[in-house]
Amino acid sequence: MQTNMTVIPARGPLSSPPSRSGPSAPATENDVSGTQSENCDRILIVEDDLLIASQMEVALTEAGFTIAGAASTANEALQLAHSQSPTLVVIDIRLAGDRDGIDTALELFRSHGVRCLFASAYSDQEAQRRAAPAAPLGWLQKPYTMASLVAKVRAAVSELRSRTD
Amino acid sequence: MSEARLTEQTRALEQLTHTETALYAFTDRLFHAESDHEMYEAGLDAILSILRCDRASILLFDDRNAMRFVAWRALSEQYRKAVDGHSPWKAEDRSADPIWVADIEKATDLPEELKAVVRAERIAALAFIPIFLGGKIAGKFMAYYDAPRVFTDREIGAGTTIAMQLGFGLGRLRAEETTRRMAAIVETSDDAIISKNLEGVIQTWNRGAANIFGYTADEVVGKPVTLLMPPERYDEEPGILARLRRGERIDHYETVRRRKDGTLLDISLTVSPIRDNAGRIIAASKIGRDITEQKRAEAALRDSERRLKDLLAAIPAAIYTTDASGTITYYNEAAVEFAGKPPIIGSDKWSVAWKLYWPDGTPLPHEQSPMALALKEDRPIRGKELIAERPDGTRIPFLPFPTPLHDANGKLVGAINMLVDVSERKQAETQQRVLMRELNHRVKNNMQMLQSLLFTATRQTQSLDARKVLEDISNRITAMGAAQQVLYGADRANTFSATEFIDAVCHAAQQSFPPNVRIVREMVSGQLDNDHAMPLALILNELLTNAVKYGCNGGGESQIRVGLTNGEGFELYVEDDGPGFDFQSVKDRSSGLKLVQLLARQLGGHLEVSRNPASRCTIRFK
Repeated sequence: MQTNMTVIPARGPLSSPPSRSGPSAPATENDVSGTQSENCDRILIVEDDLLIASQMEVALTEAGFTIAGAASTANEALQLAHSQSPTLVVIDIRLAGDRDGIDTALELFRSHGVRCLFASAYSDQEAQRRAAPAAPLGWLQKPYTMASLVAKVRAAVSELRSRTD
Repeated sequence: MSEARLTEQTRALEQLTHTETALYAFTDRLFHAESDHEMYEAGLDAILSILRCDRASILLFDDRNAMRFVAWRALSEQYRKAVDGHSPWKAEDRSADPIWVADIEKATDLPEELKAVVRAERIAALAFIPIFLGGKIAGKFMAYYDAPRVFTDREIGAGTTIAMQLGFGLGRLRAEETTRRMAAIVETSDDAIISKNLEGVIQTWNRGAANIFGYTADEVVGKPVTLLMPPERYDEEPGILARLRRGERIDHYETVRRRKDGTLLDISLTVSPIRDNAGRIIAASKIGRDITEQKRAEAALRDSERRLKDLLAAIPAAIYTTDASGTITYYNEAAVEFAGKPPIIGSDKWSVAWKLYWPDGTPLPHEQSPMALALKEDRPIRGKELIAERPDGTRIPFLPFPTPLHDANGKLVGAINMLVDVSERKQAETQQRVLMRELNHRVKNNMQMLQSLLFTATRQTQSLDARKVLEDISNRITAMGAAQQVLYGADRANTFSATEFIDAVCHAAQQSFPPNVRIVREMVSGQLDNDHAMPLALILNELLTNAVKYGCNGGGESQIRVGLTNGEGFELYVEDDGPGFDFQSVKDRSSGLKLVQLLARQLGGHLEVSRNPASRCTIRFK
């Protein structure tokens, strides 16, 4: 049985809690204590479903991030990116309006140098190929837990820091 | 005049009279003879009487040019056997002189062997007289004498006359025999065989002519041949007669003639001049074959071909045919529309398309097209989707159906190809993909909304137990989301890859596990049924969660091994290096294990738990 082995990599080096974390995990003492250094990291949320967007906001805020804004269309996202200069953008591919999340991510990167973490139901090869020029920070497949969202955002922030340091 | 001389003259006169009388009787018998045997008997009588010999024989060359006895008088069998085949002349000789041997003992030019045979038969003198037939030597007659003899001029002259008469007589019988045979052939022929003179008057009429035209010989012999022509064809006859007079033969001339009942028939005529012995054209023979049936069959075949072409033209799919070498021999209008240009018959090969490509856009040379393959391997080719490009650059996805064609003997004579445009099907497939994508998005987005609702609910409760329950549900929804993603991405409609599935569910579960937990996916193979997807995703999620809970409590890296084998049924296992748990004592307390048992039942399987050598949970299902 040792043939054909694949190691499933553990995701998110910063998803630090030693015990299993669920949706409530970000609310634990452990997590909050780890947020002090993340206050300056500003996250822009681009998601046209308000229920999902609001819970993302809650989860990320509780994890210690600052929310630079929540947009539901490409134009709103570009305006907020311009006015708020977020550290990174968490973006859905399917958006209200006529431009999708990949288009938006490409322009965000081109015009503002901001990189995106995709949180979407779409993650097929065609989507990844199109998004490649925007240097995506990662892919989160819907449905995801808020814990994995937080873990992904932490990993992305860490990657951005290691670049700039 | 002395008396002796007078007596001699009288005797000579008597002999001459006897000879003339006998020759006359001989001629008369020859004239009336109706068989070779009667001829021979008359000949032998004449020889014995006129040449005054004691014995006589007639011999003729047989088919192999050997001289054989055909009739004889008073010759021993022994003698006939001994001299059989002997001849002083060859069969093809055109001239030969009679040989008169007055005394065998004095003859110097006869071989000794022959002399001995003749002597043994007690023959003292003999004569060999050649018989001619049609200018060539055909045989001889022999006159034998018991005593040496001096042959008179009268006897020598009479011998030649007998031979000549015998030749004429035999020639007449043979000519009559040939004529009888020819007449029998003509009479029994199914073809109409007619002779006419140069004025176009019918002279002979066989049974075939009677059957074909409906007239008896009596009704038409002596009548002009135009009787058989429909009025609009009268003007053919002067031309035919003119060509005959020039000695030309008319071969297989297809025309129309009229029967006695007025109906018309298609006929193939061969008309040849008949010449007399001097080579003058005196008449014409006509051989007519009724080709009405043949013409009808040809017309039926043409009709059938036209119907087939009409049918092919009416089919709204591009159709063309080639010969065995692949050269295009036919195409319909739809093929022109398909290709964007008309193919060149007799020049274009294998495909009517301007350019061909594989579905991935790689160019496909015509000589490697499915049609070329069908001809090369003499088998129909199916299921090869291709793209054709028109000269204007438009491209059409299509399915070809090349099928070899064979003659009645099974020999490959060409192929037919039908090209089915699948653009619409392709569009429908694209639309279906868009719909599927939309649906997939909706399902997953709804699951994400559920996650959000659960997250809200978790934040609102203070109960740790309630949080734990909500947390478990959230993880289960993530596992279901992973299963949904694999189902959506599957190539096939009803099954999905077990490998992709296990990897996806493990990835999803991993997201909520501590980083020191490693999931190792071992052997996984086969395709799973769509109905298996959700129950199996939830089962795997529970077993992984259990493994983390009971098997990964120690410090350092913990490993969980997962595999799915497919033998008589499926076997999914999750194994860890922890101490394991006592199934009986835990099963009623753990809501996760209750869920696993329930879902295993849904799959038609069951859960087994073992602790040695490693802690392992196994689900077996069909």
